[in-house]
Amino acid sequence: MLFKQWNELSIPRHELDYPILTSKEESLQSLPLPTVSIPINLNLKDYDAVYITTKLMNPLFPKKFLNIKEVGSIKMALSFEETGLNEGNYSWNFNENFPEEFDPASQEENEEIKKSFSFEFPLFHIPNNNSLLISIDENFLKLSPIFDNVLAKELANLLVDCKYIFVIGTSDRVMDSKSITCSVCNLNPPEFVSGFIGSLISNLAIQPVSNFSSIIVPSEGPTGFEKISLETMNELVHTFMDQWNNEIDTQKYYEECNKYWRFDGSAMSTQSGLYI
Amino acid sequence: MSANFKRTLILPLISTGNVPQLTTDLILHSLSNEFRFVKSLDSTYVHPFVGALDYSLHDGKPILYESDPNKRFSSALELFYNESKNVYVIQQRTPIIQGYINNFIKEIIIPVIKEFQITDVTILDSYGALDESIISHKFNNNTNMGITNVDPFYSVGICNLEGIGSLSDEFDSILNLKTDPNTAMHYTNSLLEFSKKSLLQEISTDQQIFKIIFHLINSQLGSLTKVKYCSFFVHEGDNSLDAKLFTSHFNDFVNPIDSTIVEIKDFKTPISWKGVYGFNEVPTTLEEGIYI
Repeated sequence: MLFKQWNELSIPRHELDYPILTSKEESLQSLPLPTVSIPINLNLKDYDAVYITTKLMNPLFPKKFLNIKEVGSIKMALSFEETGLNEGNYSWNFNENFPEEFDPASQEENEEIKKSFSFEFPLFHIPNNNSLLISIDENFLKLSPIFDNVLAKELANLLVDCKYIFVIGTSDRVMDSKSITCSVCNLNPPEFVSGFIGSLISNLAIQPVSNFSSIIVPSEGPTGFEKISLETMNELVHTFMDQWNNEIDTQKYYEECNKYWRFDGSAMSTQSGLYI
Repeated sequence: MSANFKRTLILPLISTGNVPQLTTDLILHSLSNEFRFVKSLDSTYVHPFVGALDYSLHDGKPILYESDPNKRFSSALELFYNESKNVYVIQQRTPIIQGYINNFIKEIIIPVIKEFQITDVTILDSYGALDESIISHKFNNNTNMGITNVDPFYSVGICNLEGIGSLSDEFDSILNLKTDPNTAMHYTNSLLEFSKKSLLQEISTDQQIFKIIFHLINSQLGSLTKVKYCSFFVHEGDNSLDAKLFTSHFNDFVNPIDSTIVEIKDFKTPISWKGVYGFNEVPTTLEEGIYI
């Protein structure tokens, strides 16, 4: 984790901290795109609502309280081979080797390196209002944005003609909560949304998918490690109280959500601790 | 080919200080009555982005997008066209995802050149003191020996595709790649012919421009005759002035032969430039947040 205040060398603004997929900067070859596998029996039109969000919002969906059941998962994979000298790999074997030196054990010329990445995101059924929850575990240290873009494009294709789509996201570039639908964009320049949710809204708008609505709340911190304020959490919980049907005890739901927000350490206050 | 049939595409690279993006903003908003939005390009290979439609304070509304009244969002990659100057401009708002630059050029940029029968591509780039592959190589190899009036900021190099014949067949041998012993990087001075006044005289093979020219040459683009590379020396920080200085070369970006293209003097900045930190105040205590 990088805290800018203590960082002596400032990283140029156009260089973002994201996983390095290939170390061959001089390569002139294209890379393959990740593949997405969605359960074949999954039909998004069977659900009255589809909620799409990131892991940060999981406390809004308390599993036991709402009787949430896992119904499958979205799998993503990317693998390719890299040929060439294994240069740039530092050895951390301190057995008379300085860290700058290459590991003698791995000195093979033209070695073929197989790189593979795979991710799995579970899908949940919420019986209360017959809805589906898709929650993506974003992490700027592990998940390259190419996965966000490919998944968002795939989902946007599947979401056409769905009954109701609700997207919940965060951005550190908005001042207060914004609602965005296909025909209304409450963002004011220079506000914008990035990450998986940004990609999804962009794809839904281009498709176009007419029946989506979304809420974007202010957050702080890098992708996957965002913090949101207690006021924002309250606002989100109150927004979601209207989503569930009458069988639900709203006071209990409010308490459950707040309990999980604190467990997850997403709260932005001094009481939540300085350390991650 | 007559100057009237020239059709230029301006492509800003994401680079130091985001100066090419800011320059593109200035070009589009200063000439907002001439440019119109054409379409959003596929943004699979760039970092995700969705934002509001940008506009200049002078215009008060997003008139660049008036050609598409249903448009509500701006995306990471957008194409604009200026009919009076026969210029297409791509605004790229986010960096290319690591590893996918070759896909981006081949699958996004080259189809635009084909579709709109582009004859000239102008690539905007910037570099600063921290760009080691450029600066340290420059210090170790002074390529401006004997030239007195070197421009310390603006460098321009041209690759004439008509004149390079079978370069694609013998790419490696004609390139005359030199290896810098300090960095193990490869450099070439034969792909682009830099003006004598330019501080830059070589490009390295890890630079985006090298990959772009490589793919353009290898794509058999019948219409394309020239690739111009314009690079500006900048510092990180508030780069709005750098962008204004860079935009003053707009004449050169488009077509120096055509004298009807006048300099941009009345700069209009978009509303998204307001405030260095956008709308947010800078946090001053830990209670206001641990991140900046």
